[in-house]
Amino acid sequence: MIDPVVSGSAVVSARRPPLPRLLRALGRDRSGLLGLAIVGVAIIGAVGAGWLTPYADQGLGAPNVIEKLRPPSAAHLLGTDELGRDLLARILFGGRASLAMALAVVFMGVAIGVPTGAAAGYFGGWVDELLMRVTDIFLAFPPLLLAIVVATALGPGFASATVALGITWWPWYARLARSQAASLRDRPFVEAARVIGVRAPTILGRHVIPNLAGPIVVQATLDLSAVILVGSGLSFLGLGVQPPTPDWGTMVNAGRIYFLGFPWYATFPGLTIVLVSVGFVLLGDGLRRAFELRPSDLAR
Amino acid sequence: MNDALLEVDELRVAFAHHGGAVEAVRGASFRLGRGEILGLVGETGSGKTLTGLALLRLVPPPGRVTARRLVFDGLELLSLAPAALRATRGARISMIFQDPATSLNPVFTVGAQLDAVLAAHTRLGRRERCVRAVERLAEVGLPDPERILRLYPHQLSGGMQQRVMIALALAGDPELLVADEPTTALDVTIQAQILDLLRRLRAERGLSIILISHHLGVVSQTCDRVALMYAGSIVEEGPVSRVLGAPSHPYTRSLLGSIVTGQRRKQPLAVLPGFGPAPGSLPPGCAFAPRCPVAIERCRIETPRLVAVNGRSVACWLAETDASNGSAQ
Amino acid sequence: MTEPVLRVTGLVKEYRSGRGAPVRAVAGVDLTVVRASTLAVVGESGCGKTTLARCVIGAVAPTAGRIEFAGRDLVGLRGAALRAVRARFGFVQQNPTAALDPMLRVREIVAEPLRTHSPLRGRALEMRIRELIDLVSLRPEVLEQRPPELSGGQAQRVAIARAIALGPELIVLDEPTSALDLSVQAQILNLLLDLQRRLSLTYVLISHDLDVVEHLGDEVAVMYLGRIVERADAGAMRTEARHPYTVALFSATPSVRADTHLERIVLRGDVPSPARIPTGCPFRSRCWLWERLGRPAVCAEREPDLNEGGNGHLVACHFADRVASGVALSPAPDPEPRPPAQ
Repeated sequence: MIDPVVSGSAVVSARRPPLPRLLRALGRDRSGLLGLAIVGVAIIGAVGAGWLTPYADQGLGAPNVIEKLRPPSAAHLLGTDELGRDLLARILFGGRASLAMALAVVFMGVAIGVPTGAAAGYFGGWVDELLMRVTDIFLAFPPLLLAIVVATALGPGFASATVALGITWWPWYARLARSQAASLRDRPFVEAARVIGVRAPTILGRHVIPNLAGPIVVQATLDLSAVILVGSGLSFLGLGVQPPTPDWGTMVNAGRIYFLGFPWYATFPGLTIVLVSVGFVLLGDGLRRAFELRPSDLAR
Repeated sequence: MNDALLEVDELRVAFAHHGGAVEAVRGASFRLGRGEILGLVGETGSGKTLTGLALLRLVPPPGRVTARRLVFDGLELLSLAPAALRATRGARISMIFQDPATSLNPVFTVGAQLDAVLAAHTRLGRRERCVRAVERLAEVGLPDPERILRLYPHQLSGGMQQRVMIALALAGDPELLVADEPTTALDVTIQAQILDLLRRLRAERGLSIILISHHLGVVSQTCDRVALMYAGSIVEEGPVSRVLGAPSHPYTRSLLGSIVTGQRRKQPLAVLPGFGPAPGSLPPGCAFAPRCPVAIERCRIETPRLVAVNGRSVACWLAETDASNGSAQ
Repeated sequence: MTEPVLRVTGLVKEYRSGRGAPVRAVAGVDLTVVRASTLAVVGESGCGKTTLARCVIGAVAPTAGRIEFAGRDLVGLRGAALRAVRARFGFVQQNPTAALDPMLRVREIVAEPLRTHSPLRGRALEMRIRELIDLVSLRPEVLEQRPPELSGGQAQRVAIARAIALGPELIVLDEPTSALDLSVQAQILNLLLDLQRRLSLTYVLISHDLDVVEHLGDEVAVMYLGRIVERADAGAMRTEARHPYTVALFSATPSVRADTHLERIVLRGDVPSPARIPTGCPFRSRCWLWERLGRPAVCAEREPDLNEGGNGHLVACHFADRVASGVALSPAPDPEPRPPAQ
């Protein structure tokens, strides 16, 4: 008669299920929390822009020329631009383009890059060679030049900028996924799946990709920050979102001319770009630490 | 009147945890004589490794070490200043660990690592250090020591790496060596070589050894005395032949009954029911009571203390009462 | 005579390393395993036992030889045929927590072989999963947990449940208890024995632990540098070993047993690298018998074949009979005198 073994976690180094443990670890990380707060505010600001400012129409483009280039005041907390539009409203609505582009580009990067890299890393051999050469080709494209080319083809705007950035971004995820997948391939539980006779595509989807999610999530969060910067750069050059749609990059560009006399116009959107970017970086770093976190071995 | 090299009295190692401290070692007490080999045995969570680390004050933060007395050759270890502690570690008390591959620095040659230890703990000049290094490698049974000095750890086999680690540990001529599972990662025939080496070093140098292990067989063949740990405290301690030959504590008995010996082939082994103890949530009274086949009411209320019974020390109410009633074990 | 479940003939596995001769991890192994019995393969690191196991389960393709299982030669099977055969194997690995996908729940882990090979779905699948969990003496609550939440013993039970899920004919166990605590080892060994009796399972057990091998095994094969050097009944191995390496292995195994009267033999040196095997008998460089017999030349000239060594043993040694005549079975004094008791 076998003694029934009680199930339960009477284990010395107990580790809890992925998500709650992650959130708990993140919760103890002050800079990570700060990042999360900044990002949260940015998202709320962008989504709820319509409710958060009385100048929603100006935010979307309606001019108010009487009040052009007013400095920050009680009525207009961050001042107005050259068409008299409230700057705070413009920044809030501008967040939509920036965040949407960041999310779209990173999503494209992950959706194309991760399966490609995972397949290359897991199968190795000629599959790896082929996929990695393709990846190398895309890696060689300079983002800016590509953005110009795509803009010429599709006309400048949100879509062309997003496509261009997406094309240049996915190779990084492919590389990351590839190295993770290659190390996962020989792990005991993956070998166990092969021995059971699970087909390779199923192994990739069920065992390999979920287990490389950690570094990918961290990288994606950090990339959101980078895309905001690059996307703003593209808009600054006129290749991204076009006026009158509000966008932080275009605002910095427009405010450039007025900088000497009316510094707030370029400064506040610029500061927003930096702040939100930093927010994503802090969050990404916090997530990275949370994934690496291990409970201290209490007793041995 | 024997003069113990090491006296440990009520050693405790606690870790700060949100909501209080968790004690991983709860009042361990034992003595070690000169030239003696003491085995410290326990399963995962017993606290044996932390006990070993505590002796060298190597317990990582947030762990805190306290003791009523922790005396090495008359020196109270817990009140040593940092400089004195550094002078003691390696020179008077040394430690070797389980996996030699991770304990040796992969970017330095064996010679460089030996030289560093010798430079730290002796006043020898460069050439003399080289000579001493060769002597140490030969002492641990490594053939062609001059050649090995120039090799990197990854170029050596597991057994040779472990010997190098022992040589490093002995470079400063310590009196006490704490060996934490030194042979667990090694093949059986290599393990036999290393254990033989330890015994030879004891005979030739008068080295005292604390051998931490989970393997009763290793301890039985190598050690003079053994202390069994469970849930952070010592439950039985005494000469190997007595403790392992005629155990008094129910845990010792269960453990001996459940190890595979190949003697009762294909027969079910006696199994300890339940789970190992979780340091943060120990029951009141004796930590072993929930799994003990002979626990009485008192066991669940009062924690037993180590008392001398039948030529060894046991922490068990039943063993104590049996002894005072005069029944032989 | 019972039909063997597995028959391995002339198995060779070579690895090519850039320069020089290829290294033979397995150098010509013959094995048979009888139904509902346990064949234990024992040896130290580098002996090739793990490679042998992985060849048998098809994780590694052998360089030469035949592996006959369920009437078919496994070597050279591909695709659907190979997958179909895999349904009839179970595999239990050494490190239980590493052998289970940390992102999946126990339920999904145990379900995987069933989803891959059986038509069971829905309620029928659920019932089978619960049945398996119960067979390994785990409570149903464990189904919702993930591997990092399980203890070593629980994780190994889950791995065993997964291995028996399809009712396999053969289970390969690679050091199933070495990563576990002493008391948990006993539980798992009991479970393995119980399951073998109940389900008529056939085991191939890979281990370096002679006690486990003696306890679980019916037949034992000792490997050294890719070859089998001795093969015998498990019960007779300890006292009637014929190969000097086997004798040394038993002598080196530390034991609490008071009845061990084997002479203490400590082998010198390390296992030679498989890339540079001694000429003639591969064990020669560490063989205590060779030393004792005055280093006979034949040991350097000719590799011994695996022959009948009397009493049913197969031994690969030119002087196996010298071992049997009691050379190693004398009580020996302890070479290291202990200090007087305090």
